[in-house]
Parts: sequence; C-alpha cells; structure tokens
Amino acid sequence: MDTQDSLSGGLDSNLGLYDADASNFDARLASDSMDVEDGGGARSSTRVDGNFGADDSDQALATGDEDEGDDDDGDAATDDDLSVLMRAWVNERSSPEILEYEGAAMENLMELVDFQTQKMATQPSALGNILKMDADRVKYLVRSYLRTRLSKIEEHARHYIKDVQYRERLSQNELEYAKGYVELEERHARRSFLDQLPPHLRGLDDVTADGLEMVSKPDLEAAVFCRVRSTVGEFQFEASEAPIVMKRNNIFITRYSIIRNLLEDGKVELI
Amino acid sequence: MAISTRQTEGFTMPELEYLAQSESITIVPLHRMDRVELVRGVVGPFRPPQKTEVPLWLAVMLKRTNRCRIVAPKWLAFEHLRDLCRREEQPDAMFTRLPVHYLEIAHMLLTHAEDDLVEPQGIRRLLQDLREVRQSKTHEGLRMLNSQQLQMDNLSAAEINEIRPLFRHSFDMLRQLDVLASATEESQQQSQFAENSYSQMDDAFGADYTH
Repeated sequence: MDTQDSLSGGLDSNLGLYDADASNFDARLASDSMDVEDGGGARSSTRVDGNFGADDSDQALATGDEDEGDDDDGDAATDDDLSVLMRAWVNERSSPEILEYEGAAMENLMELVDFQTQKMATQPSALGNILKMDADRVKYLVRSYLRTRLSKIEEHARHYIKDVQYRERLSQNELEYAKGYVELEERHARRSFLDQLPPHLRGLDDVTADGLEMVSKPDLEAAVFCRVRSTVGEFQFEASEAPIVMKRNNIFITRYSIIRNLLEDGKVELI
Repeated sequence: MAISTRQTEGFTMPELEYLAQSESITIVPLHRMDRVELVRGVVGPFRPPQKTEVPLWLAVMLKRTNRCRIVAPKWLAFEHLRDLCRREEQPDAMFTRLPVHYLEIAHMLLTHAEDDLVEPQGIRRLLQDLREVRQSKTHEGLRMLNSQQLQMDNLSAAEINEIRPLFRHSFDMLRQLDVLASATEESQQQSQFAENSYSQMDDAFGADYTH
C-alpha cells in the first residue's frame, strides 16, 4: 500500500494520480490479497456519522404499490458533503450554464481524504485497501467535477468573466483560469490575423445593430432532464398552459430556463 | 479539452456505474471485521452472519475477495421482475418503479455476484425483456414531445442517458420551430419580414441536419 503525499499541496497535483476514467476503479477493486481481521478499535474521528444511503435510496426499493405515496419525508436537508458534491457534479454535467461552486463541500471532503490517507498507512492492508478505495472515489469525483467546470468555463470564458452573476459563481482559481484563457485566446487571434485587419474589425466582443453578439453565451433554453427532489406542487411550465403538479421523484424533460430557479433552490436535480 | 466530447453529451457507462456504486446494499459478511470509518460514514461492524449495509463498491470489493455474500435486492428477484415485466407490457402502462440505477446495479451483481442470485439466467433474460419493453415505450414517448415539457416518471439514469441525445435534439428542434412559427405569424402582415424568417428557417434546418 503506497502512502500518498499530503493533499495540502493543491488539489490538482494529487488528483493527477487518477485517470479521468471511472473504469479505473474497477481495476482497483482488484483481488489483491487481503488479510482478514483486526482494524483497531474506535479511532478518533472528526467526521459526522452520516449514515450513507439514507438520502435517496427510499425510492429504490420498488414494492408492489405503484403509488408514489406522497412521501415527502426526508427533505434532503441532511445531506452529507459527498452527496452534495455528487449531485453538484451531475447537475454541472447536465446544465448548460456554470453553476454555483461547491467550495465548502469540496474542502471538507479533501480534508477528510487527507485524514483518511494518513490513517490508511497505519492500517493492515485489508482495511487499508478499503480506505484507499474510498478516498480514491472521492478524489475521482472532485477531479471530474473540477474538470467539468473547466470545460464549461472554456466554452464561454469571455461571458463568465464579464457578467457579475457568473463571476461570483467561479472560485478564485477558476476566475484566474478564465481570465488567462481569454487573454491567451485574444493574443493568439491578434497575432495570427486580427492585427492585419482594419481597426474597426478587430473587436472580439462587438454587438451588431440587430443585437447579435460576438461573445457566446450559454443556451439557457436548452433541453434538460430533471427529477423533483421535494414536492413543488403546482408549477407553471408555460404561461399559456395549465400548471402541472410536480411531486417528488417525478421526471421531466423541459427547458433549462423553466426549472432554473427550482434547481437553485435544490427543489429539483438534473439527471 | 478538460473533458471529452462524449462527456458533454451525457454520462459514460463507467460514470453511471460510479454513481450506482454509492447506493447501499445488504451483505452477509463471511469474516469478522471491526467497523470502518469511510468518508461518508461508518460501516460495519462485520459480525457473520449478521447482515449489514455497505455501499455497493465495498460489497463488490469484499465479494471479490470472498469475504461476503451479497443479499440480492428485492427488486432483483426473478418473481418480482416477472411481475414487473407483465405490468410493463400492459397497454398504456406507465413505466414501473425501479431503482434509479437498476441496470447498473443489476449488471454489477450479475457480473460479480452471480452465485448470490437465484436463477441468474432467468434474471438476465427478464432484465433484457424489461429493458426492451421500456425502450419501445420511450420511443413512443418521443411522439408526445413538445417544446415545453414531457413527464417521464420512473425512467432510470441509464435509460435517460441513452435517450438524452435524441430527445435533446428533438426538443431543441421543436423549440426553434415554435419560435419560427410565432415569428411567421407576426410577419404575415409584413411580407418583407416573412422572407426573412423563411431564410432563417432554412438556416435552422440546415444547422440541425448537420448533427
């Protein structure tokens, strides 16, 4: 069992160990010999005892009744950081625009991973393997989450740094990245051809008379699939249409702009 | 590129499995082990033959080293699937209720814990049937698609992921046509604009056919 360097040296250097491909984990499930037993009694812990799986799994066991049973019980407020980040990851992957940065959840998780990494060195290999796998899964998630955001930032970098609302959604590092990206792109364009054009054609953020902008924006009208997390009740999808009842676990395909506020409030999640 | 183009269109199968592996499942441990503190919380203690709940990834990991038996979830029992299949096949039936990651979970259990399932071959066959019936239903659903919303309860993560590109593009297409339709209406009085929007319509068609 190889111990890993401290995680404090910036996320990326650590996460760099892991491939973006989740199938890697499969290889890790490997059958390396694990000796049984003993893991030392209660260890000191800084974590909250989240009983995992308590969140969404109630929808899992399909019993005979087709009835949705207005089970609006667990209002999903007791989420642990991992669930929060997992949902953020899925939302981020599915939404056309960049979403709020889940900095707190991520920092907590990385701290925990750090703690676990130190612990696994002192454990017998059976237990160590389990802890390592667990930590690796978290790192994979963090990594994929950050990469997803980077790719979205690259897509509309210019718009994100210009618009205050979006700028606030980026982390400090992401904002720097976006600025750097825009600058590089601009310099490249200028050197390769812009400087040869007449001055009035050199702009990169012009707006034409009929409102056509050069700066690309996320398409907020794009189609998304969403699942209702806590019952919304009657919801007006379209001003001209009759409202539709949104109950927990209902799934809709609709325009992103329609459910944008519900997503922000955590009432729906994208899938 | 921070992520691959495939990933911008939805999730890859390994990614869906990753999500499914966080679901919890019941196991019967075959060896004693103390409780383990994972990032998400505590699992164990493992005291055979007491059942305990662990995340699926851990169950598979233990199973592979022969340290546990996995208790198949209720919905993965042969009889239950057979009932579901029957109900699913009834005309006008909605999608039956299954776990969000039922395909991934079933796949992982059939791959790694076949000996813990009763009638695995039958289960495989039923799952296949179920999947096909549901697939044809989703394709029916495409007919009902409009540019506002469509409700599709109980579709699983993998099923949504599968239809995502088709539905998304159809949806966007309808939306563009709607915009054009209203634009055309407005412009009927002003023939000069009408011409404009027809050329726009060509653009819209052209753009979409390139997909």
